[in-house]
Amino acid sequence: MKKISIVLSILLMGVVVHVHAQEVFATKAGQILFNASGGAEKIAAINNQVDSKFGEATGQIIFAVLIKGFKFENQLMEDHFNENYMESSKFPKAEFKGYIKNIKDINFSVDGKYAANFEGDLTIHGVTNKVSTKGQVEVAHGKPTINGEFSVLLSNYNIKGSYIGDKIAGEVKIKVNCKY
Amino acid sequence: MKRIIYTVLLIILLGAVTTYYYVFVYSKNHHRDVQQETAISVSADSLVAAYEASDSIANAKYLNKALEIKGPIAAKDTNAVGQVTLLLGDSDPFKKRVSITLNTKTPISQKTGDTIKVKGKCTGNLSDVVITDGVIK
Repeated sequence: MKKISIVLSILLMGVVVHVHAQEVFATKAGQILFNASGGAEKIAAINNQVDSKFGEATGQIIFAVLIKGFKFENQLMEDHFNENYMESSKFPKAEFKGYIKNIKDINFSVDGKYAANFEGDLTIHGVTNKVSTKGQVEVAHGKPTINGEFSVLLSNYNIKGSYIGDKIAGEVKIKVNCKY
Repeated sequence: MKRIIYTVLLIILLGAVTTYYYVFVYSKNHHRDVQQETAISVSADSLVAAYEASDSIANAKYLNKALEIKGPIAAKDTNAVGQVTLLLGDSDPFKKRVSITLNTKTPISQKTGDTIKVKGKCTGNLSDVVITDGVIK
């Protein structure tokens, strides 16, 4: 009887470890901000409907965002952004698919701020490029929040327009904030 | 001759003032208001089914359009800036649903399971069909 109890306990521990290992964090309300100001005029937008998931065990991560969901202060800028630069009817979404390379350094059961290295494929305007960047995973009560900041060269994504390099910066700064 | 020059200068000046006003004043203060637009009425389940069948066909019909979506509240929450967010459709979290961000930070009285109508703009399809600028009708 004692042996059966020990075997059952070991099996149950295995199930608990397995379930823990499979945990996937997700949000549909993450935030992305970008700033493409090239001159005195502010060219910035925000999207509060970022869809993101990541696996605690593997570090596999995805961020996806719809281009038509970006909000500008100026409606005309928003229209030009969608029609002339991002061609959002043809390329409605942008996404990053990759890994948090140092996922093993993040302890999701201990609150704190952890440096995170992201590596993967970034697709914007129908063009995919390999990217790597650094960010931060903040754990509070077992729930992670990812913060990251990186730059994107518009020319690498075949985004063209007469104001790029003048009123619009050729290199756009992007900030990500996702609370899972 | 002078009259022609003054007229041309006046036209150029008027053009410059109008352009400046339209680009920097009017466009900053006048945003698209989907609540004033005629909406396509659709159930949450039909909208999801359309996107599950074909992204491109559904986008041609719904992308960037004003929609009035009817369906049961599967979940409600708030986003990073405090706006109310809703999921309309199936209560099964593994199924595609309609993800809506409302134009309000005030908590809503409707409960999970209640069937509601929301008018907003369709921005496309991710793991859920996404609606922004939503207002409960």
